[in-house]
Amino acid sequence: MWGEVGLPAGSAERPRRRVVLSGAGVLSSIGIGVAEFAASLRAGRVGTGPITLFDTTGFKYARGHQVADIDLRKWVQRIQLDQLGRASQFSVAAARMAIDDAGISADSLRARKGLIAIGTTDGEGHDLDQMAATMLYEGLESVEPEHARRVPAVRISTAIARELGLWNVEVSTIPTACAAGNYALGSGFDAVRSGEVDFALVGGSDALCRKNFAGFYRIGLISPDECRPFDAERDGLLTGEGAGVMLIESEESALARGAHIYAEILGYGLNCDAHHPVAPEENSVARCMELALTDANVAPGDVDMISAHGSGTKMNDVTEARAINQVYGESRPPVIGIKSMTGHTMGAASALGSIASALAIKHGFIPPTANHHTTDPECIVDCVPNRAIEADVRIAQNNALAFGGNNSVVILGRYDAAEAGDGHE
Amino acid sequence: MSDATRSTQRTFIYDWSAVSPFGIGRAALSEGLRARRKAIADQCDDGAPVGLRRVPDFDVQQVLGAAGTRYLARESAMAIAAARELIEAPRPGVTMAAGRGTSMVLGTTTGTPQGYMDFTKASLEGARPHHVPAALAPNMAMNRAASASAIWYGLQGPNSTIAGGRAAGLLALSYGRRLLDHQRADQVLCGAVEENAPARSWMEYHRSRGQVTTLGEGCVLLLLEGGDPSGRQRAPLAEILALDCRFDAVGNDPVGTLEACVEGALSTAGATPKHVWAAVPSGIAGEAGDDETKLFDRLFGTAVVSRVPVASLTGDTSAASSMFAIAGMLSAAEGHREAEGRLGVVTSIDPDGSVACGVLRFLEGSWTP
Repeated sequence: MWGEVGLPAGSAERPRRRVVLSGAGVLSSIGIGVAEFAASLRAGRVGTGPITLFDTTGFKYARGHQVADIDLRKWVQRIQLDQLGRASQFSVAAARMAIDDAGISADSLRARKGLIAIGTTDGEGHDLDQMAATMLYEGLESVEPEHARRVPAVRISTAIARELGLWNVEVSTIPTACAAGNYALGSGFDAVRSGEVDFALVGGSDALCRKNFAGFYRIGLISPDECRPFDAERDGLLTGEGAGVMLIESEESALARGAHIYAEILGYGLNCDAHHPVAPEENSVARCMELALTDANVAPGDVDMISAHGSGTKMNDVTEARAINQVYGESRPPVIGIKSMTGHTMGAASALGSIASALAIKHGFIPPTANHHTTDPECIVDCVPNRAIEADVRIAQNNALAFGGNNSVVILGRYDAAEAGDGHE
Repeated sequence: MSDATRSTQRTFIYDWSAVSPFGIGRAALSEGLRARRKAIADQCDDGAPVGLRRVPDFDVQQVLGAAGTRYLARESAMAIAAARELIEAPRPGVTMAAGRGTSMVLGTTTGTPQGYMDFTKASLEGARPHHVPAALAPNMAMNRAASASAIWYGLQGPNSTIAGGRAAGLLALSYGRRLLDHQRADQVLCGAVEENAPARSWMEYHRSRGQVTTLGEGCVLLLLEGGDPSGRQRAPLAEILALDCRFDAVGNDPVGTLEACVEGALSTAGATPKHVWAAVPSGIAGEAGDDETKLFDRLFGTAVVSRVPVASLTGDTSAASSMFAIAGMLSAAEGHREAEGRLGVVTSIDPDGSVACGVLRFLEGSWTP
């Protein structure tokens, strides 16, 4: 099974640059900024609270993961906040945090060729909700023009280019639902690896919205109280919001400016179940992990941690755990579900998962799976219950599964200059 | 130095398909454009004051059959119908293999805003807020059109949706080419889709500040492959020579940004405007569109610019506009031997600031029967 992936492993003649993650920005229910996020992951802090962003009257329960009401003007400096929907405010703030964290100025980025790709599930779903209310009560002709202009999904990415004044950038939003953050990271990774661009700002952003909550609630996937990945008593996910944006660049570029490097992006895999609109398919999920490991030239036995999709639904966790065991067998490392702490932040989720993986590598710990009581015997994983453990994490895998069978798996590794050279052979 | 992105391998277009306001299929679009016929425009009751050119008689269940289509959104059905032509009725000699090596990359503006708003509306007006139609839940994800196509045809390669407003087509092309370059797929069905509905009409009306007059809809897919085309049963239609995507960061000079973008793309292609056989501007409404037309006339001359009118006939297809332009060029080059070896230029301008330019070279396959 191992090594049989259907596609050639990569062309020998291609000069490939190493790609490193040198800056990160985070907005989440468990912290604003990468330092606070890291501390919360280490502490196993759970960010659940009542949803107040939209009227939840009539739902039996409505807990979720909302970003605290903070003044984003510290990071959104050039664009007026009311010109941006909530998800765009988040993406811009996280992008500004990422470049600040990377110690690089917008001026300096302006001189380089770049790529901006932000993943999302709902885009400006909160604005669409409000437009739906206008449509219902007043008619579509009453929709505010400025409101309508905020809605196109690309805005969560173009707003970053506008805020930072970047012109030589390819800008797109990748709305591949709950795996979108990894898709965006993968796209930027390829563009930097081949030398097509010098840097990429990639990640994911989503804001809570009624449409999303009502949909998940209706199909029975929302937990009344907490998200418990891999637990025998798990009863669903909690919707969340937030953003994770990463600055990635070539190793040469990072070293030349003396940058602090969180981790190296080693590779990724993408595939599609082509099976069911909402249910994941075990063999296809396993194959996506194999594609990622092959792309990264990493053997399963070398992986020290898996940040699972771990949404806490009955079906996802058992399918994902089986797929992991199919690929890893006896060499399976700890498998954690950070959605227990952050909620399911939709398009941002795998971006936050990749950042969490990079932090685990950088700081030498494995974040816990919070809210954990008894592991489901059908989910054969060591999920690091409730307390983080100190660990030498050299290589981490970050899984993402989405509606539509859109899978995406990213492999990150500790950046080790001594291994510098032509690839990882 | 050129800023256009360089591809390390070559990317070819072997086939294309379309669902357009002229009907379903390549032939319908080709015939409509060749005759320079304007597709029929209607207005919808609660839509913006713009004409809508819809795909005629596009009833989802009639087009795709009754099985499993009851809850399929219009945009998903259009994407599946476009994929069907590439897979079930390709050009003679072209083979499409479903499975692990086949990817789908689909550009969009915002999926189906009408569908999302109707879902929220059901939550707001139902007896309970969760009284939303469960069967429509899968349609709430913006990747639904691409993933529904993958399910329909067993496309297990990367399945990616690219939101880019009016630049979505060229951004999807850039993404799709990157997948081939990095050996993440053997074949890519690469295109864009847009559906007409009242919500979209208002959104585009406001985005264009009341300038847009006619909206079109549909889906165009290109079949992309890398690798050496020699020895293939069928010659490719065209090669993608350059793609240049930028952003008007200042916010008031999209056409100035576009001019640099076109220069960059032509430079990457190793070409000058005199090599261009057909040039199709973005078709954006308003001042930017007028300025773009002037730029095109100046760079390429009116004969080259007027060779393939697209947006004026189909209506503004937003996310799909640059894909319709490419389909229009490929269609126009058919039967024109003098186009072989010459270039096609397509551009995009989005009201949010994205601009893009693609340069392709027509190859033998575009005129051989």
